[in-house]
Amino acid sequence: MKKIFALLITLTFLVTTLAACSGSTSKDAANPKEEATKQKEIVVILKNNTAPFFISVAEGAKAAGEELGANVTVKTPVETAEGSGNEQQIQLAEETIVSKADCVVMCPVDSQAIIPVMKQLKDANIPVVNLNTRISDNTMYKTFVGLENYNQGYDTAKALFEGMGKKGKIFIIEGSTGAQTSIDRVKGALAAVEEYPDIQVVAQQSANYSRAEAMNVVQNLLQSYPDVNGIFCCNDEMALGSVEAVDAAGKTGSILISGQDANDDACAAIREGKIYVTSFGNPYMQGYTSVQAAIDLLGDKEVKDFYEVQTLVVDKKNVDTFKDKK
Amino acid sequence: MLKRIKKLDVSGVAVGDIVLFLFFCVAAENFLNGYNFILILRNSCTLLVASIGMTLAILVSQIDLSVGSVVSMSAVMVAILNNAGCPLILTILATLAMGALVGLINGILISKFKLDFWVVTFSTMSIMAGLALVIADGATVSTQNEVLDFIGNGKILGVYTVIWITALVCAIMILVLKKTKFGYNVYSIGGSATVAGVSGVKVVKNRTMVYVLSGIFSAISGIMIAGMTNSGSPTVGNEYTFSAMAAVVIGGTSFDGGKGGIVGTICGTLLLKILASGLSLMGIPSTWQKATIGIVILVLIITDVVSEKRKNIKGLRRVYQDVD
Amino acid sequence: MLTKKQNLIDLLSRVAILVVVVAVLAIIKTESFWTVENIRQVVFQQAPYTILMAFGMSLAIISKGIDISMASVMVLSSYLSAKFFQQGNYILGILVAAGIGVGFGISNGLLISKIKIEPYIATFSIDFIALGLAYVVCNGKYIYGFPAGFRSLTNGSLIFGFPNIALITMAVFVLLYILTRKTTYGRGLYSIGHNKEVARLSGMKVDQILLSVYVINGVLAALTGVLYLSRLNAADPSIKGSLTMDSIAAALIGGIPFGGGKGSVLNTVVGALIIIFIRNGMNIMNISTNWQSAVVGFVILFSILYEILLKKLMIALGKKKEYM
Repeated sequence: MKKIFALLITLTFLVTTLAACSGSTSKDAANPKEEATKQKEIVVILKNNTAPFFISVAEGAKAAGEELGANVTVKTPVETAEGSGNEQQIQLAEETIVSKADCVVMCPVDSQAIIPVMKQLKDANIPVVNLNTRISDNTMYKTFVGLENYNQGYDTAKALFEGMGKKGKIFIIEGSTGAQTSIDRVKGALAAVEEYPDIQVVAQQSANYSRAEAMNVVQNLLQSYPDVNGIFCCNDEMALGSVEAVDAAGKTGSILISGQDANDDACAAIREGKIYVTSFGNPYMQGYTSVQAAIDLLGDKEVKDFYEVQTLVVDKKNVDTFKDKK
Repeated sequence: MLKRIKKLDVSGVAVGDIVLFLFFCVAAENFLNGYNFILILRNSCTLLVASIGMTLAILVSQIDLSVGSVVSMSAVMVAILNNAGCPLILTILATLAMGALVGLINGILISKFKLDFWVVTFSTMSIMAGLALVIADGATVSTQNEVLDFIGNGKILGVYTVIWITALVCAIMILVLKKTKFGYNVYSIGGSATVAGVSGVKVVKNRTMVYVLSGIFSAISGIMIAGMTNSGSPTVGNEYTFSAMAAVVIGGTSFDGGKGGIVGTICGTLLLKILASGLSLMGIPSTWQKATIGIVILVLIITDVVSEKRKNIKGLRRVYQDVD
Repeated sequence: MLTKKQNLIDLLSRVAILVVVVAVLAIIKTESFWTVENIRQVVFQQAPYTILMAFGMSLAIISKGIDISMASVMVLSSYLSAKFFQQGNYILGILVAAGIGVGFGISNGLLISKIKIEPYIATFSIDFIALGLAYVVCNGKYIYGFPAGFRSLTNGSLIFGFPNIALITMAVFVLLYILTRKTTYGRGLYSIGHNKEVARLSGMKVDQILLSVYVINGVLAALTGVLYLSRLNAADPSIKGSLTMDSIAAALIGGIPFGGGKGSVLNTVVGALIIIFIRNGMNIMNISTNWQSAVVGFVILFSILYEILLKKLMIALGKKKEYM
């Protein structure tokens, strides 16, 4: 009986598949005139939609869709555990072939592992705009919109070192293990360290981009290096965690902290003097520009290789005004 | 006819599969699409193969938490060995051997030394996950190999290679569980290890074999992932352990052991993937997707369990069941 | 059930592991690790969160179940109650947080005791639902900045030398210890862990006890969530971190086996401290985070190999049968 049941299920599946296959091919023969006047379907695939950064990116992307006339859908992985977002992104990318998207904006969790599916998109003639985190193979995308995380790390680190008086000991607090953004920012920071001979990196640990973990890690590190002068964090969340750790140790003010992203909480901390510097990645503009580039691509307009969204170092001086510079 | 359907172990989740499937055909644009079905099948492959090992472990009333970590480790191993110039066939064999070795260690510690299986597999899970990170130096290792890429992304006779591999593994294991002595032993150990032992089943050997197989299947899954992504990510298997457990349990294999099977796991895995695809194509934001998936699983399990309660078989079995 | 002597030996063996870990770290990094400040910080400020969550996990494990939804319930309750605490409306804040904890706890409890769903899959689904809801509610807006009065929950010291959070944790510990070791309720809990049917037949209100376990877990999760608000000065979904895994590891290292019916909250504290000290030590020694998972795994492995030795000891003492 079980066998018959299993057979029935398989048959249903096969029959529906065949029916659907023939169904979808007939769809293609639809009115070409209709296709031309239809709005372009742009699918934006982000790393998640739980971080404030990416929520801004999504807002920017959708706004661009409304203003410039395209149908923008934002998709993100459901699993937020480290490493699993990649498999889901692959599935989301494959779905764009199913849903016949016109263009895909991709911000990959894993710059290497996403390449095969990008190849599939290429074969399906769906152009790709790479957003925020570079895909490791630049033949897989038409243009890159974003900032160089390397530069972001470099600029912020420099600002931090200047604030420290060009000398002292620092911690480097990394982001999630394997995250491309973290790897690049740290590279940038280390490059800056090369230029300042009196700056010494005494510890480098990961806090997984988490405020809570950073607080624990920095508290622990302060035990070994109580005389540290600066903490370079790969994002604002960890910087805020470091702030709490430094506060708890009673060292507020004697340790300069830097972050990345310039989210609201970090700006508040800058105003209070608890964080020294962060950098604004302009997520809204990143999202906006990426959709704009996608639309230009589809409209056969001239498209640059690299749309660099300017990063802005944010400190006490410009914390209230930096957002006006769109 | 209905009564006979109800007797099937997998009826609940299979019905759920069909119901959801039909629902999404109507509710989600582009779901009813040949290419999409193939995608769902293809995307189920890696989880399914890893879940087969988990199914075996749960059938003998134990568990293998190290599944996810062996998957990660395998993917990394394939990438690194390939980059080091090792011929692919050797790479694959070495990776399978690694999986088998981890399984062997699990099996021996658990069955021979009688250590708690949660503790042993939890520790092998942690160790393998950590080693994968260390060997890969915290980042995804990219790798290029035509044959590997063919395994992951190629097609044989129009069907994806991974689907062939998965179908083959499933078919073999279903037959093994049904027709071989080993399969019979697995079910009897799951029913009651003491009774099985008394009636001549070599409990230690069989349970160890289960873990070795689980390790091998996890390794196969990792190899497939390495092929599909042309890289080895040390964190790729992080969710696999828990998802595999869910797929197996949803599929009707109970933690008590001795009940359920691979067909159920196939249905369970398909359920998770159909859900994911359907919700995504419906355009539901991912924040709502997570909660929805939880609710659907819950509803399915509740209906399944409630209809189970009407069967008296479970009550009778418990009287003879052992506390292992 | 184990005799008091065996329980004591088991506990002391775990304490011995803790002592070894601390001693090794103290020798390697005396100036930084072995200081009053560091030890106090680890034990009184960092450990409590893991300890509280591990308490919940332990209770579930003792009853032969598991609760992997605690971390998500913690995030949800912290998020929903944050606004009230920020406005200084403490009573409402506590009510909301407790409400969420109790609500999800009851859901878990009913699913497991009344509808008789496997604890793993029940809490797995609830975990998805709770976390999904948390992300929907959060929507990327982190809530920052809490009044000093609220922060004194973790910063302040009612009794000199002991941060309030440590006092709270100790109070919870005492409560749970008395509840589980000194009351009929506790005895019921352990017998359910040994054999649910026998417990039921001997008159224990099995369903009610199981329900209450998960409700307690919900409350513990909510409490931890509120405490995190105070420590971090923000509502932050990343607090979920690796808490689920850590609390399982804490229970395992501490000596609470998944077979149920054995172990106490004392074991949990020891196990949690071992894990926290390992992480603390590795940070201090600036060892790459990649190694942390592997080291924790090795320590767990060591602790169970250690258990083999203990078992040999038990046999030597002639008490083999009861120990199994």
